[in-house]
Amino acid sequence: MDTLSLVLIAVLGTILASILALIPALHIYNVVGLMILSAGALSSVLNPDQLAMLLLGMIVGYAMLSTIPSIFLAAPDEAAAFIVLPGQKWLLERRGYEAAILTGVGALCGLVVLIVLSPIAGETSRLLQIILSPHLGWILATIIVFMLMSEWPKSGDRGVSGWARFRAAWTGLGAGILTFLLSGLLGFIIMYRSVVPTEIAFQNLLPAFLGLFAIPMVLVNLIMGTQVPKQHIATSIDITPGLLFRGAAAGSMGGLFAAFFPVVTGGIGGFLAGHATAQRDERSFIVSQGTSKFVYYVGGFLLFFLPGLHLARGGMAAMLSTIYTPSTPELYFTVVAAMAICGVVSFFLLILFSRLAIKLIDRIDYRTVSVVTLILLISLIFITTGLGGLLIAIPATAIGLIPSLFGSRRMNCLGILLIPITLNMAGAGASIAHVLGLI
Amino acid sequence: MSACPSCGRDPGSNDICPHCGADLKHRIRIRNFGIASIVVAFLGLAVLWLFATHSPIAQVKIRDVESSFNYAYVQIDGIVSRGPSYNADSQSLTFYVRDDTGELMVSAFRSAADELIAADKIPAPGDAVSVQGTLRVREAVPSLNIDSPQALTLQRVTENPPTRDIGSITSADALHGVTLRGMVRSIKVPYTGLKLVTLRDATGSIDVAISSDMESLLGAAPEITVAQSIQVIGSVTLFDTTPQLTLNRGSDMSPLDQAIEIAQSVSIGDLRDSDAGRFVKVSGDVEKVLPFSAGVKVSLIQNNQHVSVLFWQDFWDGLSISSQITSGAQLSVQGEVNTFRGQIEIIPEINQDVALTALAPVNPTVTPTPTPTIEILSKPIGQITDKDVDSIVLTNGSIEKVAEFSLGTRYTLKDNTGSITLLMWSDRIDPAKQRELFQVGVTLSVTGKIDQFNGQLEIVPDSVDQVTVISTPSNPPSASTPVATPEARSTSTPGPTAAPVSSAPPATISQLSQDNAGQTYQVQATVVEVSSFSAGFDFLLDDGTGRIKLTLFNNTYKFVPGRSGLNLGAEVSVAAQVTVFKGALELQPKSGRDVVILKPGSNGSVAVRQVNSLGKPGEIVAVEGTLTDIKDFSAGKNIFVDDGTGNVQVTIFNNVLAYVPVSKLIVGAKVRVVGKTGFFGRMQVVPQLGYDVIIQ
Repeated sequence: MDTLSLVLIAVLGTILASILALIPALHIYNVVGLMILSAGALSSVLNPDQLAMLLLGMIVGYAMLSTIPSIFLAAPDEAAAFIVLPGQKWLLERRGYEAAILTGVGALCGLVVLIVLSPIAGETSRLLQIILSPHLGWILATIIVFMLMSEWPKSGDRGVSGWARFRAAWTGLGAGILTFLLSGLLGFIIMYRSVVPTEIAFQNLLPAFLGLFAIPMVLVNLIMGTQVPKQHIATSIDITPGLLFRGAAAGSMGGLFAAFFPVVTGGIGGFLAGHATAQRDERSFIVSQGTSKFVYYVGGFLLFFLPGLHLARGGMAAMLSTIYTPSTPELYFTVVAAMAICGVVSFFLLILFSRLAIKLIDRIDYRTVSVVTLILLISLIFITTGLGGLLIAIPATAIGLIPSLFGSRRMNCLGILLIPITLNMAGAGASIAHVLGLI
Repeated sequence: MSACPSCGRDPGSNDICPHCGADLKHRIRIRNFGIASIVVAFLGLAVLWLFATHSPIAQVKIRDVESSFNYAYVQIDGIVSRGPSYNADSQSLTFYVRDDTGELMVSAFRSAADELIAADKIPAPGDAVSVQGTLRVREAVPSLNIDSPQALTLQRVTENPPTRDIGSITSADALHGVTLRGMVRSIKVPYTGLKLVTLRDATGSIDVAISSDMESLLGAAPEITVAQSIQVIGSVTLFDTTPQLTLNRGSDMSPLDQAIEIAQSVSIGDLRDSDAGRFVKVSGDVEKVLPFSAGVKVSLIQNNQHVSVLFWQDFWDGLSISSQITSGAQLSVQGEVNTFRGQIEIIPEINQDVALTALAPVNPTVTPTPTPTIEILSKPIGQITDKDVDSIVLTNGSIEKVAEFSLGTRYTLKDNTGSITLLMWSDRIDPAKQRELFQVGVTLSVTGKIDQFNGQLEIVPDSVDQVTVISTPSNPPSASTPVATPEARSTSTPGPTAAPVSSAPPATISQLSQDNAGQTYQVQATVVEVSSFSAGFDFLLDDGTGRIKLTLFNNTYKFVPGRSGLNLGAEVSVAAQVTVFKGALELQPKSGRDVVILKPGSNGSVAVRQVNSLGKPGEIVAVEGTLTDIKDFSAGKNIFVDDGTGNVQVTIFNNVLAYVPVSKLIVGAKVRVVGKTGFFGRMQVVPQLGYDVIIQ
């Protein structure tokens, strides 16, 4: 009965997160942050294991249903940074519903991968951790170099002179590098001397991430005045088993890499996997991003329950670990079972809520949605982190706008994590922070 | 013709696009938004940097830190309460800071740790520190990570510390700096990584703790030897509740040119009971040399005043002049004054405390001083009367009843002539030994003083040495067992009871077979493996000819003399019955005393492993770290040990837990655990003996 109640609580979490995921730009971590803050009050209702299971259900629901705002409302989070182009393209081709379902199918594939790997995850993770721990610094540095070097000039073939073509090519590349460096500087400031009040310091990254990813997308929508055509609700999806397998395999690789590797997010994992498997087909690409995001979010959280390991990867585990550590090995298997059930439930909710989203965007003006979303985001930052949070969100938003307005990768905004943490691992972080007058 | 920039269709010559209504004259280029973004980004970062660097760092009290403080950059002011410890593999430096509200762990990793070391900013217990860093909260337990040497300011507790007498150091001095001078009395290494030097002056003694972490970071302490006089500057810390001095840097210990006098010379006749605990030096002639079960007592005489000098057996065995300490020799001895059964005795600690000032005359022409004797009356119980009160009587009887009271136990001792109360004060006998010896039905030979309490006669032995087991209910007396003869008179001084000597035939392990099942043999071998089971402990013995399991059930194990030495590498002599269990031969002694430890073993040779390197079940490993959590389960306790590289569960089953000082098992304690790795859902270390869990 105890196990059953834990699973039921997880399913409740999935339903709750599925509803919350429909709110544009609201990240599940923002909600969980508030829940952790009120953990004391929640303790009279939920015991620690039940709270952990609720959060598990929520992250499963979010990993599946956050696709809806990403595609229909164009307010993706950092893990979906790579999905925007094909997803939005399909939206403009009236295929938003199909894109959402395809992403959901990818997530289901990710669920299967996690279930299959769950019995060997403990030993494998332990071994990988032993092998990789001494090498994290240079691996992260390599990822950064690859991210920056793999950016290509998108408009270098235009211009009347060589200089004009050179300038056109390097405008986008320069904007990408500038974004990366500025977000890295922002990362240094908030990691060493955040202006967020001490009492809410664990939400340090919230205003920065909303500023870098969510607010710029909303602003761009307002500036550009995107018009969403009427969507078609497909009864089948345009993919072959081969493409599905290929996309799921690539997404699993990226998701697992991101889930296990500290600092690497689902977006980076998907980006690396995409390059590693040389995907060109949009369909398998969308599937891979669904798989990658699910494996990153849910797999990362699953690592926290691994008996004897309790790796805190990802924001959810990082927040929960401040108040809780799983106590019994049995809980891990309950978590796997709950994950499977919640994954299936959330897929059906994805189908349901995608149809609902299509009806909503038919009836509500896209600009209105963007304005409401913007107000919501600013309110969330202010309520959660006060004026200090707004002070962080302003430069973050400006940095987040650069890639959108200059046509470079938004993923460069992840310099906020990559630069300070890589430099810390290299032993230079504190020195730079000292030079910056932060410590 | 140009296309409308908004809808792409031909607007003709209109200023307003006729298709989409876009204003074609007053437009802003999207790139301008991009440039504006860059400007705002720079300005915003500059403002943020200004705020961040100019706003004061939050000063927090440890108790106020909650889980939502995770990642906050704060300042904590307090006193270093524990540490530092350095893990070279993970390059982490750890110490604990206490303020008036609580205690928290502070860590520096990699370059930050290196910089702290290079800047000579390694704090020591008692140092007042102000430390800035990032709070990390895990499972509601906060810790602080510091990033640079600038984040730590400290006021050394050992700057100009006062010179103190050792005897004046109390627990109230904890975390204060002091200078002590004294003589090194012993140097011990309780486990790898810690050296304890016992220092004594004329007022008392104290242990000086020297950690190898400290030595590797701040220079090794000078080589010192027992009996050397030294000066030590350090911080007073507490081991449990006992003060000790922690050496904070090697150079704070220095040898002294002049010897420190640790004992005042006194005449034997001036010694009083009130001198107990003092360290004194006496001289005199050796009157008698009396071996007893645990050592040798030497009676010294000076001006017709006597005093006993007590040498424990291991000390006596290592004393180079012991063979020369004979009747008539002159001896100078310094040691601690102790009173035992109303008699004053001196207990020397090290060889240098004993000096032979003159050898015993070769030609024994000197008339020896008459030896004082005590008359012992040997009587059956029924013949002991009021007249015997204050006499020493030897009698035999069986225990019929047991009645415990707050200070001891009264046994009803009965023979066929009557009964008497046998009174054992609890401070004169090891409770374990008492439970082993004094069982209902056991027949004893008791020598003791006759006393009367509430009209009831009592026989009160001085010590357990004056009680001999003649027979147990399951082991009736043999014909050769000496039995007191009624009315026999003896005038000898009561001697020590000889340790039981096994009459079992010796055998090598290879000689034992299933044919010997049920027979008792004496086996001498080395312990090569230890393990525990729910009802006791197994020790795998190897004598070079083979291996056999020695099984000690709980009620046997607890009576093994010096059982802490029954560990890996111990050489033991065991008189035990050969049994067959599940087809394998085992040795099962009937009593703990049938196991004699010839050379104690220890788990010190087991290599310390990093927690994150534990991956293979079935290995014997040692882990050292901080105890982070304790959880009870139905069959014992799970404790969690963090060594900076990871956290491992240590499962202590109840039979092992019985020998672990549970009161010291507190979160934050430094522990060393030796045990077998196992994977039961998660990696665990399972200690096999209570002595495998060492708590600092």
